[in-house]
Amino acid sequence: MGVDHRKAAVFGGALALRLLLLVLFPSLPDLLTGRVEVSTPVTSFKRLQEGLFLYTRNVSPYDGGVFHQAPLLLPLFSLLPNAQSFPLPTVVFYSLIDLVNANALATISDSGQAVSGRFYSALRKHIRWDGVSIAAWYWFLFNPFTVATCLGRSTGVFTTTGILYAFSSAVTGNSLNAMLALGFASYLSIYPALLFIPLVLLCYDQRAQKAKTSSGVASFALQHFAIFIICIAGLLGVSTLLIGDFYTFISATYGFQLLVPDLTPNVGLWWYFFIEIFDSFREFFLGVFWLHLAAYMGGLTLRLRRQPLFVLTSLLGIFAIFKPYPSISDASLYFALLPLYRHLFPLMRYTFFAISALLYATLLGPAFYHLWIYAGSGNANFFYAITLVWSLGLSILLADTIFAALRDEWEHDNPELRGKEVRQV
Amino acid sequence: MAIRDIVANPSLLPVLGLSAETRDQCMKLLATLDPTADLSTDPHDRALAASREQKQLFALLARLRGQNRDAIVRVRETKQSTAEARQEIDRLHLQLQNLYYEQRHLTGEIAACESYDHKYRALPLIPLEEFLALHPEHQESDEHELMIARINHEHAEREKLEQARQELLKRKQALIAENNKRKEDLASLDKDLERFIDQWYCIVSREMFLVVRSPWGTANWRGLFCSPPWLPHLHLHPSLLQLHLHFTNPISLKHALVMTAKNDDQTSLQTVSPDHAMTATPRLPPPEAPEAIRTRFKVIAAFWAVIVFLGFPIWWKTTSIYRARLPIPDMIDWADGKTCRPVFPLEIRVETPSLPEIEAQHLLRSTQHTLDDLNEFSAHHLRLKLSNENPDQSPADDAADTALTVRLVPQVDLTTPQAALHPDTTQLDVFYPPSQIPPPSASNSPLSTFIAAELQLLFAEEKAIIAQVLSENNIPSAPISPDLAESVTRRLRRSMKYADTYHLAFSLFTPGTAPSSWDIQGAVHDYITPVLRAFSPISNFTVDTQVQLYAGFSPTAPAPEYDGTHSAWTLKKDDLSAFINAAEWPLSPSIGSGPTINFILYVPAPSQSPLVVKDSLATSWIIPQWGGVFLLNPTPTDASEPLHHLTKDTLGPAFMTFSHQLLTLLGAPSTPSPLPLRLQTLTRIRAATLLLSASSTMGSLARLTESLPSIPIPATVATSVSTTLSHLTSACTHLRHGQFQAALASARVAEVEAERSFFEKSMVGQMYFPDEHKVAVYLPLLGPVGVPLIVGLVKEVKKWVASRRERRWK
Repeated sequence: MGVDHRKAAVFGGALALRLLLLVLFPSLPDLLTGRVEVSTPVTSFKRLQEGLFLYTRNVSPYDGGVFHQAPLLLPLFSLLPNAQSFPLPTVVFYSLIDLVNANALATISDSGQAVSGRFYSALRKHIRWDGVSIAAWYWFLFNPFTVATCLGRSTGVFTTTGILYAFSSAVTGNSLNAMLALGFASYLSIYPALLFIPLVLLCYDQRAQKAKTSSGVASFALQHFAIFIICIAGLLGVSTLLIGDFYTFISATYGFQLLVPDLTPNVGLWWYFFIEIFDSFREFFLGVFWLHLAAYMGGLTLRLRRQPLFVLTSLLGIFAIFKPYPSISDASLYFALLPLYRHLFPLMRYTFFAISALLYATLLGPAFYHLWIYAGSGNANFFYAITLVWSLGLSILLADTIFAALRDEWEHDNPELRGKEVRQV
Repeated sequence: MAIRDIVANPSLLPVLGLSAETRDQCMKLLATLDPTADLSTDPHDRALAASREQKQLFALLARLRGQNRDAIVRVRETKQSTAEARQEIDRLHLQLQNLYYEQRHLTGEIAACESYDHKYRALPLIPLEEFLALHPEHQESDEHELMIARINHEHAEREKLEQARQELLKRKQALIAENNKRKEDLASLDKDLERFIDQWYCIVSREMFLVVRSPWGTANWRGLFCSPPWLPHLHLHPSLLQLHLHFTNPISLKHALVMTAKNDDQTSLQTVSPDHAMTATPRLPPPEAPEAIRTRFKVIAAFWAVIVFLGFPIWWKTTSIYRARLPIPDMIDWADGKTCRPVFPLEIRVETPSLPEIEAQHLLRSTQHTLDDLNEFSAHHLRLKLSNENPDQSPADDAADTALTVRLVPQVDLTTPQAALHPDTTQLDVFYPPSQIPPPSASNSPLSTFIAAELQLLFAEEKAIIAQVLSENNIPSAPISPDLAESVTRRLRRSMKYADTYHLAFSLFTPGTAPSSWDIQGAVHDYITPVLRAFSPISNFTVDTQVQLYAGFSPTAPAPEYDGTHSAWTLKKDDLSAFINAAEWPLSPSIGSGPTINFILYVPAPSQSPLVVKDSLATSWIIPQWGGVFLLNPTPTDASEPLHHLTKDTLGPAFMTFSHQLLTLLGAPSTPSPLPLRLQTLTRIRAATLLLSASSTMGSLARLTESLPSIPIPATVATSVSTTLSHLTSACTHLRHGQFQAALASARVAEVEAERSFFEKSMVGQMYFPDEHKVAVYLPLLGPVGVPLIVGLVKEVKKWVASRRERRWK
């Protein structure tokens, strides 16, 4: 019960923090909504408002060419009062979503899947933060990135919810729910579909661990793939009923996410590159970038077959760097999952450098953006350099954790060499 | 100086004496002959004495000659003997020289031999005294033998030393081998020691582990022995270790813990069995498990699968240049004129209302013969056709392509045939005396000759123009007379380039305020619109008008001069080109897509009126390929007050001129005069021009396509090309059948499509993107990504090849 008390206190504190920020700084949500670091063209709350306005007036929300988010968000938000005149309900709603995410995160942490799975159990199991909710509140609920995302009301949090619930269902052995949640996340933004294979493996490991009488991986995967597809198809069907024209909304949402026509600056790497690229090579490099994003899935899954949850975490990190419209909410999701691997931290080598790079980018990013856009004394390269630093920091962190995980596995395989120096060959 | 002093040779002295004697004799003779000497003596005596003296002189001279000859002979002999003596001397001198050289050579050889540096001198021999002490038997021997003995002695000594060296080397090898063996033993001992320490660590508590932080087990050992920590292997002699431990044991408390551990090792070290120590190997990372190798292979394969199955198709799909297939050979054939040779069979209808059928037929045939004989240009020929008697059977479309109708009208009061063209139709009336109807038997007649000549004359200019057009496109055509060719070229140069749409701009310019309005609508409607309607099958037209007040001449243009004889202001013919004030007059070069034809109506100021061109007194001229100018001088009656509005009647002559200028600018021939005939001619010319121009555009496109393999060819270009080719074909067919209107329509479509396909925008973009730039596009991103992937692949492939080879060897 003590645990529950603490959890309640943490959750209450997180909610109170958000409400306090809203009360103290009433203009903060609108400020954050306008920040490029928080809102991307595919998650912006402003664009959602525009789509909502059109939707409530029975005009196709995609007519304006501004709104590119999934249609199912519209009826959901039309239930809430107007965010402009009554900001409180929306913020409360978003805070609740955050709490739900935190709850899912706590479930994942409590399952202990991060330290011991079906094939593998980490050596330094004891070095971990107690999974109840510490991870959630140190790294998620009170993380400034998460708070900013929450107050900026980016719709990316729904994708986060879908992903986290998929994970938490998978680690608790509820593979059907995992597939449904992943389907929901993929429906909102395409890229979570890439998590399908490691997630299925995670579900399969859970089932095999419990049931002992396991069917083949292939048939299991096919079954779940069918569930996943049916879920997405169902959501698309409902959306079609809602919008009426299937092709309009597909091209306005998924087409937009895949072809990246809007090159508004964000913290990612795509926008600058596609501003500069020759037009005749645009399609080719779109393909290259998407393939680059997708190519890691197979390699990581094969290499870290014994730790599917770690594969999922690392893939989220990769998405936070390389997806077309990343924002700090993607980074905050990765940061939320990282503390599950507290036992890897002693094996990491460049923690200081990675954290400094991230802090540097976090502090200088808004300043350089201001210099470029408002003061006019800088140019696009200022901001792009900062996004490069940000991506560099994330990449170092990612590479370092993967190295630590591999190291951990190696020590596990070679107990006699534990604690010895390794050289990368 | 007397000659006796010089000549001392005794053999010459008689000669000298004799010559002196002869001279005396000569003197004597001269004295005898001297007229002044003695006049008293008898001249006869004197002559006698002279002859006597003369005889004596001759005798002396004969002797002198003999002696002279003797002297010369003697000189020759002397010279001969001198030469012989000299030869002898030379020979001797040469021998002497040879001897001298021989001597020098021998001296040199001797010196070289003496200074030759032999090896034995450099030998570090033992000193002579020492040698003599060793070998006293050589005390007596001479230097040479002594040296030989010494050298032999040295040789023997050295051989002895060499032998000793070899033995030492062998011993050294043996020692090294032994050393190595010892080293290996040591290494195995070291290994055992390490293993022991590791196990010991496992036993010792966690705190101990934290103290011994460094991951290598031996690191502490190394630290103790102060050797650099990067040395991979350090071999310690057990006894040395023992010794050192004794020293270091009391050093510090921190090390003490470790030391105790090592002392324990020490004890266990002594118990390690020797065979175990031998089997241990130097330290290496543990071999990779086959499972790990398989995993790595799978990882690399996964990345490459994405690249090969998704990356390459995307690359292929997105960067390949779409090149629609073009019928290149057909296009080139068109451009070379192989597909279509334009022919112009002109159909001429002959109406013979008053002639019986047979006679008319005969007349026709004979005229045709004559025509064919006259014609040199096979592509352009006239075909006579007897008109149908009943006019309702000739439909309109048939009539449209009839070039000319010849109407034969008998007229009794004529002696020779006469021809008259109708001014507004395509009819030629030929009046002939009925007597000239050729009898069926006659092969030729004046009438048929006349008709043929008349027709030939009518179409002479057209023929010339077409010949010119064809020859410009390298199609063989009939030769035309030079002056005709020149006039044709001049006309062609003057006329506008063909366009689908022309913009006509009528402008009224005046330097003052008046006139400020004109009845342009009526004037255009009356004078221009009929022409434009007639031209509508050839081109489209738009009409713009403007009025510009205060339009002065440009300051550089020469001002008009007043000519008293004609009481008019005159412009010089050479200055007409500067008449248009292009800088200030708003004459836009082009409105929309087509070219603009400008017509300028200039009303001079009353103070400079009337304004004419000098000499010719003309008031209008054509500016080639640009437009026409007309100077409108108000009639003298209303010259006093300025003219504010130009009525249609005032504009009449000007617009009449403009319509003529328009015809010229559009390229209509000057003859024959009736407008319908000129239009028909223009139709044929335009059809030919467009056909050839579209064909050559096709050829250019084909060549462009072939020479630039990197330009994309969109599907629209292929469609345009096929449309062009089909319309070219139909135009050619229509031409062959004499349907010139249809041919022109097809040729216009073909030209438009050909231009569109040639100037397609998307084809040009890629042209300025050379291949080197592609490297710059691909490398910065794909290079860093690709290198690890390729290296991984290469490593795997190498490993696979190696394993295969190994398996085969087995």
